[in-house]
Amino acid sequence: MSSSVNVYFFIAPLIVFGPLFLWLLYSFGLREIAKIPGEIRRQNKLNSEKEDRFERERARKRGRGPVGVVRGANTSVLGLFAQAITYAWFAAVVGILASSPPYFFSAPEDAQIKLSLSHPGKRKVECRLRSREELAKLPPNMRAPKDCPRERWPVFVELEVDGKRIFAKSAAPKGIANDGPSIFYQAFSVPAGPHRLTMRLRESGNEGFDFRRSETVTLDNSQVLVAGFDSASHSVFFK
Amino acid sequence: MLKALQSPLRLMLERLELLFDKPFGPPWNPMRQLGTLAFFFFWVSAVSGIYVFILFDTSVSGAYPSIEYMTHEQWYLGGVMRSLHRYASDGMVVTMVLHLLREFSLDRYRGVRWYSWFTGVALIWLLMLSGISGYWLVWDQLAQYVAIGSMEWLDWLGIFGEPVANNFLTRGSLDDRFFSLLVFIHIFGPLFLLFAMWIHVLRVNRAKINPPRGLAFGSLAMLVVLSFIHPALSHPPADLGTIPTELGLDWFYMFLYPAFDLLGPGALWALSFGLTLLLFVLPWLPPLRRAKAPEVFLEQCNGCTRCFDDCPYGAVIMQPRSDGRPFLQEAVVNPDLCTACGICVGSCPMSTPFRSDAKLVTGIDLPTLSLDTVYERMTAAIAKARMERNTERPGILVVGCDHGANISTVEGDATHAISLPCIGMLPPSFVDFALSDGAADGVMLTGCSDCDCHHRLGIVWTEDRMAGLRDPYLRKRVPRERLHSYWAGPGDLAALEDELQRFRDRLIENGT
Repeated sequence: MSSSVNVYFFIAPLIVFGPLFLWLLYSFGLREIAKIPGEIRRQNKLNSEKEDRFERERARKRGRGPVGVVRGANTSVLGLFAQAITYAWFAAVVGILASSPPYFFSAPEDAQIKLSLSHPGKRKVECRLRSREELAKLPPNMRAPKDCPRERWPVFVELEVDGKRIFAKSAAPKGIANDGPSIFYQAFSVPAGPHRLTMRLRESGNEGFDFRRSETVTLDNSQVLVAGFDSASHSVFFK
Repeated sequence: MLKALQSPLRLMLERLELLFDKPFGPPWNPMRQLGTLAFFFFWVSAVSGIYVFILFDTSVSGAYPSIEYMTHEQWYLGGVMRSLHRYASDGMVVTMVLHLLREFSLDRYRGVRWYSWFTGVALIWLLMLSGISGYWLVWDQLAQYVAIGSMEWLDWLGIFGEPVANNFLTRGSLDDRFFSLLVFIHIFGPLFLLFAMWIHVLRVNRAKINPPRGLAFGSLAMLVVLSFIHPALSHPPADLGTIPTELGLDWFYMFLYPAFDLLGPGALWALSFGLTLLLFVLPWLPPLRRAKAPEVFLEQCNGCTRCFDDCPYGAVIMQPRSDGRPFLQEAVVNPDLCTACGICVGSCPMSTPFRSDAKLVTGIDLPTLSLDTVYERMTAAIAKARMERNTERPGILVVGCDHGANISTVEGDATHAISLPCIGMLPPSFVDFALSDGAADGVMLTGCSDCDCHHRLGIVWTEDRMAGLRDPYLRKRVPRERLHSYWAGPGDLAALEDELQRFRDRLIENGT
């Protein structure tokens, strides 16, 4: 175990504070919860005695029923040996299938490009300042100076690898009022090595794209590269 | 259609049951204790899990080293506990699946049993959640694969504002707070599972949730030995900057993940939801045509509570007397819980053929197979046996049940049989009647396999009644050497025939 994890750090407080904690619990209510009423204790005792009497009687009267084949648990040496073999067989099935046969999720010479972005499209109608007349018509508590219809444009994203388009989708804004971000999440397997990546993003109702980035990246074996959009710098990134 | 599915499955499982009967004996036969074994594996998993949790560091950076510590440094306890935790939970999947298949093949999931089946289906999801969430916490490459797969699968539903899988996007994406949430899922999943297991057996009267000690000990020993020989190990630590390549999946829990990679989340949701829905509605595809529940004849009922005590389904309840007769209570049957097994008829002290009434009326009786009809069939069978018997062929009455070996095939040679819905329906006084005044030379009782009564308690109650341990008793005057029992399932017919021949020989030997 690493030096930061020491088992005594867990056990020592348990030993020191555990009994104290239990005593406190006991004093502040657990006693009342744990205390079984006398009547129930007496009844439990009677039931237990009755059960014992029944078992004694069962043992005494055994054989007074039909003369039949009593097939109890097999405790003979041969039986126990055969049981051990059965247990071993079951254990082998459990032990083997708990970790094998191996599953090859990805070839070692492959890499992965993960497209993941959450980006709100532009508002379909831009905000505008309300005129004095318009504001006067509104109830006093709703006189916001700007009128901003909430609906946004869907976001469209294209991703190309070595000139080949592998993804081109439009995602509707989230939310009942279509005012949330558009969300993309998809993974693509590509061979490791150098690749020319191009990603384009449209966030408005205009023709063409609002953001784009082209870059040659070299992917190592099994490397994961994320293609996304940085909302702080307003740019597409590959990292 | 249903029979075409059930019959081959039953045949296969019955062969396994009979195979395991030999080394284990019926009481310890794991195939007859699948439900109790699943409970047992849960407890092993819970206890070992508590120990593992003591040593476990719940931070992203500390989780893997703490598990490596318990696996390699404290292998003799921490490592064993970790392996026990894994293998017991795997064992639970195996026993749960076999339990489900077995109850389906025995047609014990429809009718009044729908509730246990229905709640059992929900257990599958909770068990999967409990098991898979445990694998996340190791935070190795397997955990990374399973966690990302699980989150991507969930994200497809679109119920989260942002994809949950983004928590695993790059190195450093996963923080301790989210990791703690995964720990909580693994704690509360099993707690909910336990709660659902309690609900699962809630409507089962005298539910058996613990395996026999011998079987429990053997199973635990097996898990401990397996833990020492083949300890559970981790993959290399998770690295969100790379994709795992080769993975040693726990196929008991992760069989769906390769399907996820192959089919995608939508198809997998359709498959898993469709299968779950099918399992949920299976008890009504088609619904079981239920036999009519027993009727209580108050003029014969003195409220003795024996039917209430013996009913395996809790379908008989006692209520204050409604007919003004000087007894405190009367039996009332809840048809929604009743399978018409007839055990209540066998328990009624008024179910006796030693009466002068023209028609045999008892305190509680089946409308579809009244005690009077049983009486008539029995007297007819005895009469035939008497006619055919001679010194070489004693007249034998075989009483069996509809779910055990097909006893009509043993008829002949002065042997005649009657079948009841359950052997527990046979009142001991009928055995007395069959053997009194030389009516029959011998009575053989049979039913389902040993320790595997279709109606759960029919064999136990019959044995206890015959041994004078449970009301109504078989009278002492009945010669026990002329009474024989052998519990044989449908696949045990040859053994039943052998046993019948041995009984026949013994009767001849005794000069009966």
